[in-house]
Amino acid sequence: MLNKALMRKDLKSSSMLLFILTLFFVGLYPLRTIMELDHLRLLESGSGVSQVFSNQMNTFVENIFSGNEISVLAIIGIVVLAGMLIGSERNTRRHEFSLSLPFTRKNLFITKASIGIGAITVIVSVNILLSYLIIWISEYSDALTNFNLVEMFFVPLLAYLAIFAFTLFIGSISGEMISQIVLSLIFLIFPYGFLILASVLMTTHGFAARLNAALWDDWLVNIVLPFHVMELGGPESSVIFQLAVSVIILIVSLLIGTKLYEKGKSEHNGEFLLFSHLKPIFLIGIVGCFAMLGGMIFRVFGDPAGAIIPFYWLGALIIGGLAFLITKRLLQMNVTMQNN
Amino acid sequence: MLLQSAWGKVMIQVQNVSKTMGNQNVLKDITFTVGKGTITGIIGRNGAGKTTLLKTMVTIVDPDNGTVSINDRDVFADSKAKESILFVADSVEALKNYSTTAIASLYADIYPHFDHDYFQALMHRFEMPSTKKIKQYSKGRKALFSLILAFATRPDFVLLDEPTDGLDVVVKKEIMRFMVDEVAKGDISIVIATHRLDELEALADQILVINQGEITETFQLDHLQERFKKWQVVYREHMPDFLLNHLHILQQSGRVYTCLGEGDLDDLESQLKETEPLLYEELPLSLEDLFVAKLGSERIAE
Repeated sequence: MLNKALMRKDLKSSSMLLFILTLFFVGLYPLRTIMELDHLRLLESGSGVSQVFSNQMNTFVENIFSGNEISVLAIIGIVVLAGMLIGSERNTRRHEFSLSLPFTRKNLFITKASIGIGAITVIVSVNILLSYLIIWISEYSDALTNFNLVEMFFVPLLAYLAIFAFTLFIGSISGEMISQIVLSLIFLIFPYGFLILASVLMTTHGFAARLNAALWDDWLVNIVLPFHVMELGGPESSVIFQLAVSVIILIVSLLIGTKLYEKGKSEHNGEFLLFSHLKPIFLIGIVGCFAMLGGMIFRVFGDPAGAIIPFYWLGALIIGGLAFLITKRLLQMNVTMQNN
Repeated sequence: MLLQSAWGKVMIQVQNVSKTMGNQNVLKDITFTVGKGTITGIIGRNGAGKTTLLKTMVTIVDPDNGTVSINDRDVFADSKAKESILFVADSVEALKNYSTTAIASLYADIYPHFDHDYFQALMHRFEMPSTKKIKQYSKGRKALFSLILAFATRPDFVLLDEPTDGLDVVVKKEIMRFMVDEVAKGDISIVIATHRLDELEALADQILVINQGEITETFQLDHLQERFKKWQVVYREHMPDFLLNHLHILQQSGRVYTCLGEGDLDDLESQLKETEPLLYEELPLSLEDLFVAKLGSERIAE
């Protein structure tokens, strides 16, 4: 099913990003491991086996294999990689060229998915393995007893794969790269963001106890993919739940993505969305969320006067109105680079 | 219903293809065939649907209705059928960051009949230098390179969208000669969508006139003289009204009429003579005359 020519074509367009992604993961794992080991050596040589050193030893492996700021870059890199594979093609003539080739659209989509899934699996696995080996050959190899294969390898790997697959799926409904990337980033954290907006709406109108983002934190960590990468730990059931969520999102995104990629019309390339009947849904969704965001911001100004509800609705109207005007333009745009 | 082309075996068969984009019917029930070893010209004004039709033939655009078959294989159901058809529009633009070697190697992986020796021979024949990035070629060289790539894949069909647009006269002639050579020596068929009627006249066997998404006329250029005649007629006052209904007036300057007759030409000619014009002569027929007669009074050939 995989064709050498398609692989070469798509690898060529994504090679730079794969290189950058590799750098991110080298920074995230082996480089960080080397730096953490140096830090440990420094602590040990400075004060002998102190409490600080012991604490550091205990959390050393966890620190290395949990997320940090570079994980955010890695997530963005993966989203942009999927954007390069689908969205940027739609912005240029490459998509039409691909469609004219003697391959099915399913072939085209599966090739893109395979490149991303293969590359992410190799990059993440090799870098985690390198980190593991660096620790293993060091004088602190005992710390590896804290290494948990499922939690520190499979959970982040599957989360990265699911993020990639989800972005490919978004690429099958969006008409160009920017909308694919922006929509993917929004929907990846949507449950978290929406819950905050909804809880502010509820508390503003006197339903404080019913909905509070803090109460949902554990649940959110499990369903919001970036949290799988950024946070470690939790009970074993939570880890299994995270794996299940990643696998489900990965499989469902690929299946629905393939079908929608086959159905997408090339004449809508460059538009915000490929499927025009989705436009009203997105218009309502975007305007609604921005209205709630406006309300959340403006309610602060009403607080001193004890008029948070009027201010909430004033903010909702202003920001929601602006969002309506901008989104309407956005849904009518066409970004196609004719000479690319 | 199986359609038969004028050349015998049906090769490309476009049948009842329709396409709506937004509220516009871009293609309306298009049916035609392209035979072996022929050049077919698709002419029409800007926005008539020429490019959409070509894109539909290589599945870039999905039709709402209808089928496109190549040698009896439906291109939408059997993607391998497209191994014998090349759409030359923006392929080089899409791969502009490739080197000549890389692009030839890519095509060899895609198209099983890609002939590397022939590719090199054509590059040599047209004195095309190798380049590390195709985008470094001039517009003319890009167009020529697209054709070299297309013909080196040894396809049955090549679809060209405005192949000589924006090219200088020398490159244009070179490309046209190249296309005629290719068709003459093999079984390749070419479909050209263009508004360059003067070029098609020298190349095409069959002309399809497309107007607002519909094929309004199909001409075999060999039989053109049998179907149409062009006259210049001068009257003392003006052309009789009954004649105006039977002729396409291509141009009128005072009492001088340049007109095109279609159908029973002998009958028309005798009617014309009966009106006793001051001057009456037959003029050589050009494609542009047909275009003007069928699609409007605008002169579009440059």
